[in-house]
Amino acid sequence: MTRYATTSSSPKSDLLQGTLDLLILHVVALVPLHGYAIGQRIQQISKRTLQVQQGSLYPALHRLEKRGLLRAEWQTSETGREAKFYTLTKAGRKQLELERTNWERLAAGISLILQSAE
Amino acid sequence: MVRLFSRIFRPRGLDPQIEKELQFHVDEQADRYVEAGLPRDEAVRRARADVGSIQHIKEEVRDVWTWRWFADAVQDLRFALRTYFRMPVFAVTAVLTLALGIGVNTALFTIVRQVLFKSLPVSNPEELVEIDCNAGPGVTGGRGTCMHSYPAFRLLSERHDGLSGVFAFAPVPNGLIASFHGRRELITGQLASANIFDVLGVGPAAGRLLLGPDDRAGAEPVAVLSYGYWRRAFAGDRAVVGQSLILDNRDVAIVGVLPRTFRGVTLGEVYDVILPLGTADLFRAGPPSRSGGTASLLGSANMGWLAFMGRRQRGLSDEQIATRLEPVFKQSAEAMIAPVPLDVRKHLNLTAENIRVDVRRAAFGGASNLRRTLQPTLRVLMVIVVLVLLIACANLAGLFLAQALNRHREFGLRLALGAGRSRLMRQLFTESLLLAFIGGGLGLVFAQWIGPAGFTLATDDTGLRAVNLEPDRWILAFTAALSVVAALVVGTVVVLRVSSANPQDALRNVGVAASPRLTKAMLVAQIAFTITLVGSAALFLETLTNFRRIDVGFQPKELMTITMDAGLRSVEASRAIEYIRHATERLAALPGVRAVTYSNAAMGTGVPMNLMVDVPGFAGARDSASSGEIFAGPGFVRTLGLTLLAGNDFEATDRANPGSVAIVNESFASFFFGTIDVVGRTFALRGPGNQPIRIDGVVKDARDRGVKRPTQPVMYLPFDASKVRTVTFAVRGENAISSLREPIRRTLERLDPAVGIARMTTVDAQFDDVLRRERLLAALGVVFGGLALVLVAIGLYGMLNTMVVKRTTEIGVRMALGAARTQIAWMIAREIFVVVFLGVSLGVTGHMVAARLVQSQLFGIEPSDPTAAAGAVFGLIAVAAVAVWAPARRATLLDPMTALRNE
Repeated sequence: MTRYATTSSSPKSDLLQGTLDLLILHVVALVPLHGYAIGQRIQQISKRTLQVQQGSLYPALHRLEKRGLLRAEWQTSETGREAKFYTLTKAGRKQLELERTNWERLAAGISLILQSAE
Repeated sequence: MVRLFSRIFRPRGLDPQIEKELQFHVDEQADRYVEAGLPRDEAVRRARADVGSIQHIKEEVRDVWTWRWFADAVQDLRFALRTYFRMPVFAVTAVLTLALGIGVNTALFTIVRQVLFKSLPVSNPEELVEIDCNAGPGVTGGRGTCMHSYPAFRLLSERHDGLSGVFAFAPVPNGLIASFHGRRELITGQLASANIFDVLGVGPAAGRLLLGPDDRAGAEPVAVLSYGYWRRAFAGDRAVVGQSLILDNRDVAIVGVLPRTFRGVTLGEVYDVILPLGTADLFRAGPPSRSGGTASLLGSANMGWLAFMGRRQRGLSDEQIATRLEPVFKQSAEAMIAPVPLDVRKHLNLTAENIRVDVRRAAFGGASNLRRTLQPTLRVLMVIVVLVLLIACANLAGLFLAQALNRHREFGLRLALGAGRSRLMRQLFTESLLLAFIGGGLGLVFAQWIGPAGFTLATDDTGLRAVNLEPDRWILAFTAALSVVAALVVGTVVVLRVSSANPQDALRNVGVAASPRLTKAMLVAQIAFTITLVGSAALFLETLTNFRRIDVGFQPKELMTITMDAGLRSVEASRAIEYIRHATERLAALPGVRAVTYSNAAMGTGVPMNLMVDVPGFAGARDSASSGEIFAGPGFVRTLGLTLLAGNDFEATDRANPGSVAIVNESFASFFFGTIDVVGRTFALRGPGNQPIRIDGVVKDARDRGVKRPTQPVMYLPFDASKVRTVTFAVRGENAISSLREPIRRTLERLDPAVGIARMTTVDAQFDDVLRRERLLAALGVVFGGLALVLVAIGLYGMLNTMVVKRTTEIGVRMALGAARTQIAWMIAREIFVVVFLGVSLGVTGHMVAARLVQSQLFGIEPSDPTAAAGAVFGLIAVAAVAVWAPARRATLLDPMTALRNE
């Protein structure tokens, strides 16, 4: 099982933080979601390979909101509770594309290296 | 205020939003668990556990939105304020302790900066130099041929290679009597060459300053007023410029006023008026000349009475300038000795060959008498105030530690709730900084009051007038730096203690620091500094006592001295003689007066003149045959209470033939004759044509120059009013001499309108005045030492008290098992033995170091004298015993059953 940005006090690496940001942006791109659903969705899509710690998720959401990549709104959820829903902004969509390209380039590069080593 | 800041830096209502968002998360997750079949409460618990530390997430999120440290700082500050409001006694004690420590340090720093480091308030002060010259060894009187005479200055002002300008100045020795619209006042005056303000770069506040023509011989006398005198005597009225002021019975035109910032070229010496050097002969009497009257100062090449200063040319060192000036001083000296026959020159070793010029930076007023005399005292004071600050810090750290122990639970709880350790430390530093700044602010206020008060005690009002003790940005910076240092010292100690706190222990409330080692260390430090301080205080007290115990050789009680002003010098000889005769008679006739005499120096203030004498049969070196000379009136020995060892006192009849008899002191007799049995022997003042003087009486040595200076050979010669016009009356009363002050004043002032009183004081008061620095040091030592002892007592008491409370259960068990009460008391007392022992040993070492630092201010006691240290140790142990008694007694009086139930 892969764990992202685990314990509370350990500093997060830029790569992991950037990756989490990418995943969040990707998940939210389809439909506005609240924090809990974002965490669940990432787990589901990755077939439970990735588990997101709340200690990293919420600060990441607020960071993205502050950078203007996400917009937040309080709405009633499907369970009838008040929840904070996050929507992708225009800038967020651009950022998503940029990061997706970056990630693919990086992933391709890494797998090339790993293959050649075999 | 704090709230305002936090609103600016953090979006409104952020915290509740985050909480709501996280609560939603927990609720949703709990729903899932319920769906999976868990009971509701278990589901909620699991959901919460999944989220982890909500506190921590909140902090992280807050971090995203705010300028973190500032928000934290604001929060810390609010928390600190709340904490202190909950324990006001602690906060007030801490603030006052710090205010005291910082206050005395700030006050002293203000004085030190003014006296030791401040530049003169002129343009480019670093360029100013003092120029001095030395005639080299072997010449009597030190300076010998190298005279700072007026002709020498004239030559120097024509040829001052290496200096862009040079000026000369000298004080008017006994002050001037100023009359303005009928008001008479004794003021101070300085003679200065007219270019002084050009060279200094000082402009007028009103009117004009001195100009070249003012200096010419026969010019109309003019005066420039100092700002202080202008405000004091003329209420700052600009209309006085152009009016005339009567100085020593001469009309002098007021031409201008100096700026407020200019306080003279010599630190600590302010003059009310500046007069052009060209008028020196009007205001400063030269030596008596053979023809009667006085010689001209301006014309005389062998009267050195001036000081020289100049402004250096860029890029030249002191030595380079000195080398360039040397030929000028040699030429002056050669011109001066030219009329002396060659063989006499050889005999007296008069030569211009060895003349050396000394040039040194004057920016700090190095020639200042104030600086010279205050420097050693200030050094010692620095030692004292630094000790006070250290004690305050140690005490404060102890207080904080005790407080930290009480707050152990709070800290543990915060750690357990996920607060970072670094955050906790910052909180503690914030708390100590807050206290330190409040204490520092108070200290600054405190310093405004004790600075001038202390300075007045160390010098007198004139000294205070000469320096500016108002705080400036340097003082503020110093106080702030001191506060920060104090906060860091205190904060570090507490953080060391707290950061080792284990949250679990704290929460379970077990094993709460049974041995607060840091508290003990602070107490050890406090005791050590206290011993050091009290030890020095003991040395100062002993010094003061030793001075008081000195046999001054005359009777200082019930004795008043009255020095007359320059008015007596300005009248004709016959009028002066009449004045002295009448004054003596009328004073003697006053009820309550036992005897009256007069002399040319107030007893105990100095010997006006030292002269070379020729004594037949004297075996010592010719150059060493010098003696002090005091002119004394009839009844001198009787009135002052000198001890006549042989011969007679002066009588009124001696005046008939002055200069033929003398009374000498014991030192004189034994130095020149090797015996005190010298009545009837003769000697002569060195010089051609001087008549032999017969010794008519021998007195025991008296402290003519004051208690602080050793006795020397002195000859008392009959007062000759036709030559000597500096008169001090001495009046001995039956009792309560102070009550005679007014009758004496009225008697002397009614006699002659031209003559006034310059100074009037009892000899007792004058002695106190001479010892003012010793008294200051002793008083400060006693006050601060006492305070330090009280603080130690409080510290020890607090430590033991806490210990007794903590070990109540243990004591109960021991007593239940049969321990005797004495054993319990011993167990408690033992705790502090180590602390006191270590503190005392360190303190004695500290005392030995400090004693050597304060050596310059000691008299009659060696710095290594063990009694001072012993006294300090004894005092501390006594204080410790008192502090220990109450907690130890409380422990022994514990009821075992109650103690056991305490748990």
